[in-house]
Amino acid sequence: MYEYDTFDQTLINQRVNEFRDQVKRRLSGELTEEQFRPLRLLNGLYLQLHAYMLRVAIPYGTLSSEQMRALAHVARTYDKGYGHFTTRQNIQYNWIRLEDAPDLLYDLAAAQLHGIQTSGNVIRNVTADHFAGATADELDDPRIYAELIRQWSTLHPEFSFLPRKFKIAVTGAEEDRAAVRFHDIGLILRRNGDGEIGFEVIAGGGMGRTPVVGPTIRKFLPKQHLQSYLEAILRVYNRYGRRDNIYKARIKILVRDLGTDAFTKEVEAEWEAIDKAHVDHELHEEHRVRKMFAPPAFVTSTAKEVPSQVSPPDFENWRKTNTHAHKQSGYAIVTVSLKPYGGIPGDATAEQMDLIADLAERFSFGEIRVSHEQNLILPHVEQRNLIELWTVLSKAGLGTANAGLITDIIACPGLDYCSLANARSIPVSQRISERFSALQRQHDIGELKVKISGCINACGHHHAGHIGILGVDRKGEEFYQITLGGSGAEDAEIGKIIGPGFSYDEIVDAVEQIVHVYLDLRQPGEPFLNFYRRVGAEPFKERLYARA
Amino acid sequence: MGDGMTHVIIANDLRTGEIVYLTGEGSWTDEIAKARRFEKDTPDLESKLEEVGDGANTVVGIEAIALNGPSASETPVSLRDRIRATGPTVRPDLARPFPNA
Amino acid sequence: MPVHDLSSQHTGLYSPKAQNGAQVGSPTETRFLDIEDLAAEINAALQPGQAIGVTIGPDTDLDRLAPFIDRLAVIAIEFSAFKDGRGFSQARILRDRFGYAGDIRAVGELLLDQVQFLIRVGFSSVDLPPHISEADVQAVVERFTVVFQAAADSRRPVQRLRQSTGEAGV
Repeated sequence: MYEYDTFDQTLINQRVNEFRDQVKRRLSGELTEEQFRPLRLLNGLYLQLHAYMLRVAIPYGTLSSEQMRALAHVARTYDKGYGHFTTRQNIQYNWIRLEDAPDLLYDLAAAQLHGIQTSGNVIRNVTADHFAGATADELDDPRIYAELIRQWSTLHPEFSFLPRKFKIAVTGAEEDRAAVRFHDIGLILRRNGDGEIGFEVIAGGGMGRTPVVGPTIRKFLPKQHLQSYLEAILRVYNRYGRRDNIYKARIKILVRDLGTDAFTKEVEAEWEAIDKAHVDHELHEEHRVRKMFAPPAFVTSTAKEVPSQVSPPDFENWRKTNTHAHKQSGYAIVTVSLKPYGGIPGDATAEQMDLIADLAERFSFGEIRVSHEQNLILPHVEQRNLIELWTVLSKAGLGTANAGLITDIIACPGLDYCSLANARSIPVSQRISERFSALQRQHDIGELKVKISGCINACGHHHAGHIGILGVDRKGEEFYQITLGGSGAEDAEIGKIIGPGFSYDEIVDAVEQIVHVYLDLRQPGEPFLNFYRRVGAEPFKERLYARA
Repeated sequence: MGDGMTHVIIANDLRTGEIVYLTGEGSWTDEIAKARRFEKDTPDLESKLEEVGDGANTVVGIEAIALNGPSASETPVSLRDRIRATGPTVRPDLARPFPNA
Repeated sequence: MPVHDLSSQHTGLYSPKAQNGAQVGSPTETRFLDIEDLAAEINAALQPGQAIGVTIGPDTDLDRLAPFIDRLAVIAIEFSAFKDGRGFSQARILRDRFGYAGDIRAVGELLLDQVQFLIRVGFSSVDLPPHISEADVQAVVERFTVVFQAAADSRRPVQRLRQSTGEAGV
């Protein structure tokens, strides 16, 4: 894992000092709220419905046990004992006091954590495949490049006042777990005909009000030019992106308005003019970072030692859904579900965080990942330890066997916390989760991704849900629009609205009806998404709106 | 706001972020019961909002919220305001009870 | 509003083509023109050695400055709002691409905390509200001793420092 050296540490320490000074100036009245707001946002501090909310960056979703303990410490000391893991692989705390924020950030800095660029019109915390460095289907470890991007984008002097926020995601695997086509820039590691490693570059994807599956603007970018090419894209965006309308300010609108070809031409011309040797990363830095992401010391001799006694069926169910093939034989990638039936997706208590830190140390070389699906990952677990791990997780309410199933729901905080929301997301997800909690039924339904957003900003990724749910406000009432057929994976697609929305009381029944249509009409072994793509919206419409 | 409903002015305390209400004396309180009611008095409410908004150095996120019903059972009209006043509906253990709600 | 000289904050500009640009004149000798009138007036009106400045907007096409850029002592870039970051790219392009070595001044709506970024993209002076003192500016400038990317100044990004010290810090 990446560890800070004195340079990295110096910067975040100085950042804490800067923020301490800014908070002091705000509390003394020297700074108005209007002046202070962008400064606090640049440190991830929002004002929400009930209090300040702090978003802490977890670069490319990778955490050490130590860092997880620091997150638990913050939950316990500065918040009400819990935190919320987000769809951006970050964590946010809902009950922060402004006057405590500098001390909180000081404590986090000691664990190499911060809130820099988790908000505001800047290059946001970079995300990556949460199975990076562990999955078998990987060309190269995307975290190496994500770390280079983290450094390059940190307090970038030219791109700290962009038209709008800017999100970059990287993957190195065949299966896209990072939703790269739904980002302002998506990067897929590729090998060219000469065997060199580089990136397919995607620009102008995104969710929100205007969802776009981002187009590829360059099939192959040699990896050594990553930074100069990103600068070229960002400079074109910074200069020409719209600033007159917040809803049209994302790069996807610029790409759409110019057309992909014209936009690409602008970027290429800008890139041509950049002094690449000045801007690009140093090869020795890439090597230095790569070394830190070297595989841990896997044990090979015990690979075949699987416990001989018969495993309990509950464990087998969990193993079926919550473990994933590891590149090292004898190991598995474990998904720790933060989706207990009827629970709040992504929430974890300080005690749970501490427990996961301990378990990571015992079973996963002290390494933890946060997935954009709001679960935690233990990336390197020996298969012979799985049953013990599962036993401990289950006792702590962390052993739900539902990864990828219908109750593994993504939900934004919604109107329960968020000042932008129009409707609640969490209780809708809780009710769906309870409705489908029978495990046999979930397995029968198979992979089905339900994603819920409480407003059009789409933090709950509803556009990419097999079943997407968008909460809206209709004359003071919560209403929920359903989209079907979305996908955030390598076959990225935007879900289509099925018809008129449903009330808070109707929405769970509507989801159940959709599932019934699928179960009634599917071919043997046909997953939900394939079924939808084959039959289209009609059978669903008939069932949902027949009575009307 | 010209709907003739009773309003109170809600905000977050600058230092702590906690929910507070404007009192008749111009101070801020965390008790809704002590909040000043603006009865069908729109111009007064708007000028008050402007006044407390200008150079607000103790509170942020200032809004007027409309209340339902007679004072014995009053609650904020909109769900958003209700949640802002009372806490997340999914964490009843963290609720700030709104009297009579 | 008072103009703060940022040029002493540089350890020198990064400028591969730094042969262009007039000597920096003192502000009292500088006459500002509208860019629309610039091309016509520029060569006719000037005495040898006399300096001029120009104010440009965040969206001014910089190619329009190219024909007389070596006569410009000051290019002032206007910020209509502190949130509008286009001026940062304008300065960067003037330094990196045009090799402009004269004074680039930030004027308009700016926050003190932005000064650190202004310097890095190539600004050499800034016009700030009167209540901001030289000491305030200095404090902001000194706040961050490390940078993580090469820009239009000569500060060396961390990865090059790592290379030259031959160690990864600690």
